[in-house]
Amino acid sequence: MEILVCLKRVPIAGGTFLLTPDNRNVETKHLGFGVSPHEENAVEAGVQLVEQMGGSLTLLTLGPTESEEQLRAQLAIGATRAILLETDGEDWDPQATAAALVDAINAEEKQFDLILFGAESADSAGYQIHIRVAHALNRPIVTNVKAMTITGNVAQCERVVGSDREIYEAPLPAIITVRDGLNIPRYPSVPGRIQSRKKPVDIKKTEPSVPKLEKLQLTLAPSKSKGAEILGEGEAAVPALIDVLQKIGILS
Amino acid sequence: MILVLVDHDRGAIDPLSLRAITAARKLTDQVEAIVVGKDGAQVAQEIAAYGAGRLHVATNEALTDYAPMASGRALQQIVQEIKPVAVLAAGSPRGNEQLAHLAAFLDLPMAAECSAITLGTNGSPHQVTRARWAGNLFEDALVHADLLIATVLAFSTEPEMVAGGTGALEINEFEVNLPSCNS
Repeated sequence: MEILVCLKRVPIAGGTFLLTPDNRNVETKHLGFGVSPHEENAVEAGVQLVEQMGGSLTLLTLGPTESEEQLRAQLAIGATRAILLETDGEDWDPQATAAALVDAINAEEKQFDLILFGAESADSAGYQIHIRVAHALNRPIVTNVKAMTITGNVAQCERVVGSDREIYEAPLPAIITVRDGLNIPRYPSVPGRIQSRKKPVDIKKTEPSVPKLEKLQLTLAPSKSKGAEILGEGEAAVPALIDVLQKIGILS
Repeated sequence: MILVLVDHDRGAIDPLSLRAITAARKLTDQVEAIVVGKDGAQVAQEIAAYGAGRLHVATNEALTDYAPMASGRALQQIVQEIKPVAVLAAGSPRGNEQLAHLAAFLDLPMAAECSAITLGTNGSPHQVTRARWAGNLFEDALVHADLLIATVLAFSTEPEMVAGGTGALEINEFEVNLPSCNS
């Protein structure tokens, strides 16, 4: 089985965000980088399928030169090879990203039986690249999958909607987006890390495109924490303090 | 006129869709809605109370449950007929997915999870503010397309019924063409 997993390099931001001085990007000077959590599940699923059924697992990403770091990390998990569509580091809009991925997929000699995406990237919240790729390749797509089995030429997929589960069957070749919970991504072994350095990463230059969804600037969301409220000082604070104690039920 | 995709599960409306209708009404008085599947007609009275003036019911005997690509087809078909300035839906997994299919069919940009929308005038781009990084950041962006395709960030708009009661709701049932639909 020939499998492709699409990834995206994203900063590991934690809970606090800083912006660059021009407010166009997240300040990453002091941040590490990884891939989106769901994408780790996609790679794990791909590795398991190749272990069970043979074939190969290819990784594909569009991003800056440094994205090779994330590709090598996932190659260490067990992927076979990787393709980096190298950009100048600027964000691409979803249409341009999808078109570049489609071009790269079509340029491959082999046809991928299964193309996996993470359900969503951690940063951009576009919710559309996988669907645009499916349309361009004329393949069925199932999204937000939390369980998947391949039998013959059919992928049976399960996704959770509220308290219900929906079951879909997609004939291969197909595109599936997966969520965390699908599996437990493994840690790379030491031999895996060593082997990943020798695995092939094809680096292809890309030309920036004119965005149709054009980012102007980013702003930080208002803090949800109200912080500490100063009720007053000395005796003057007593009535306010009593009010608070009554509100939380300590005083009646 | 703005078209709002109203999501439902076998006739039970997704409350986030009422917020999307309210968000549309803040941009124009001319709001129409679309539901996919015959069961969707059950939401007619409710959406009329929130200000939609016309309900398009997309039907096909194969449309018995949620089918996002078919929804995209239905939206594409009605958009080409009624030519709205914008198509909105709730910023829910289903809303985002169905509008993404529409955007793919039309090869147009889509802005997901918008908390603010300003429609472009005289050919100028639409302007949106959209949530990123799970709502920790907001992005101001321009959408360069005549038709705005956007989803409304969940809970960014409070649902508001129309003052003075329910208006008359016209229902337009139409058959969706589903050629080689894959999902």
